[in-house]
Amino acid sequence: MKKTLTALLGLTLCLSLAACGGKEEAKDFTAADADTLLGTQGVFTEALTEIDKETACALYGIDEATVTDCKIYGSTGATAEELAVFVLDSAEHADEAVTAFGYRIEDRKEGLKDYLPDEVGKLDQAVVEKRGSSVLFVVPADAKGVTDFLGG
Amino acid sequence: MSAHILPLVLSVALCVGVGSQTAVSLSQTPSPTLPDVVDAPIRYELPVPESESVGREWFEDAVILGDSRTEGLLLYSGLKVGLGLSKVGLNVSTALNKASYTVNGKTLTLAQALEGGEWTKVYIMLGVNECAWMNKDKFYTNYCGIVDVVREKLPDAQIYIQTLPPVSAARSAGSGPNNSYVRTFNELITKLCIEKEVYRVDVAEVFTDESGNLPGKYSSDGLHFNKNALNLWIEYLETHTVQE
Repeated sequence: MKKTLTALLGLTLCLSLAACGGKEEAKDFTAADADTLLGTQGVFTEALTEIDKETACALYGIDEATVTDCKIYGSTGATAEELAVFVLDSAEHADEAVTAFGYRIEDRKEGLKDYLPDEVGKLDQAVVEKRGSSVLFVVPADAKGVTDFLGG
Repeated sequence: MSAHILPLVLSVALCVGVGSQTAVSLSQTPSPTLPDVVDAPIRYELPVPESESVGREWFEDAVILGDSRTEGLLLYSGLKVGLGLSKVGLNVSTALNKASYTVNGKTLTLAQALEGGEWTKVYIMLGVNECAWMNKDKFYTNYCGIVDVVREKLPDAQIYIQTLPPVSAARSAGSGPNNSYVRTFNELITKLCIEKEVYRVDVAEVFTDESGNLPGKYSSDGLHFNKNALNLWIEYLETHTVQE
């Protein structure tokens, strides 16, 4: 139930952001957007480490065969910060990725609540946004940088 | 024949006879062959010695079990393993007694995760999360229990218990795991390896500076390993195996 609710919330966030995006439709995400966001000052407090495609797909439960491009970065253990851009082969598979990231947020909250309780707040401000057949997933230290990025 | 000569003659005859027999024996006995050079038997009180690198393929049929440090290894090193069983915050009690592992979307206990597998080696690193608070006897008993489960499910697998690398000086000075606790728990790990006759891989060796701390170049938070450290960890495992 919790996971379903979170996934729905994530989808709602995506839709609302799309609705507020103005008249011009936002472009789909590309893997390069992950690097742009990674380098944006203030978004992350930790130097995140890249995860390869196969490992990331297994981690998130995303079918690797549906992924046409991706870039994923995570924390080696110090924080909850995380960043992923997935370009899927269809909007439907992008929806599945959105659901997967919802589950990821819940799993991380559960896993970190005793281990790194101060990091759980970052998961509360996690961003999952779908554009076309692409999805952005961010657990930032500061969500403002992400909001600015998405609004640009 | 006089009484003096007869014993002499007999003695000479005896010597000749023995000599002849000896000569015959020596000529008939093949040269003794030396045994093949064999490796010294494993001594469980010692860590696995350095050996030729086995390469990363070695781990493709290995189980890698551990806490967040191991999770970092599995996520960020690119190492392909047979089965990765890691969980942030894992300790020997939750590793043994709880459904702590997610395998193919299912949440499983250790026994369930290993059931029916054919992996040929198991690497375990546990202890840093609990060394500051867990009773030593409980740690030892639970770790022995983990080894027992692995042995039951994978009776033919090699078991490598990894020593605990230290934390940084800064982290050691704070609350939580410090390097005094780490050293104590490494002593328990040594004891366990002797009792259970499993291999001890002294990974701590490569991550300990002259002051007994984790060097800053290996970690951003004094506990978890950066990518360079993960590669170093793998290289150490590659060069410390037992060829049976």
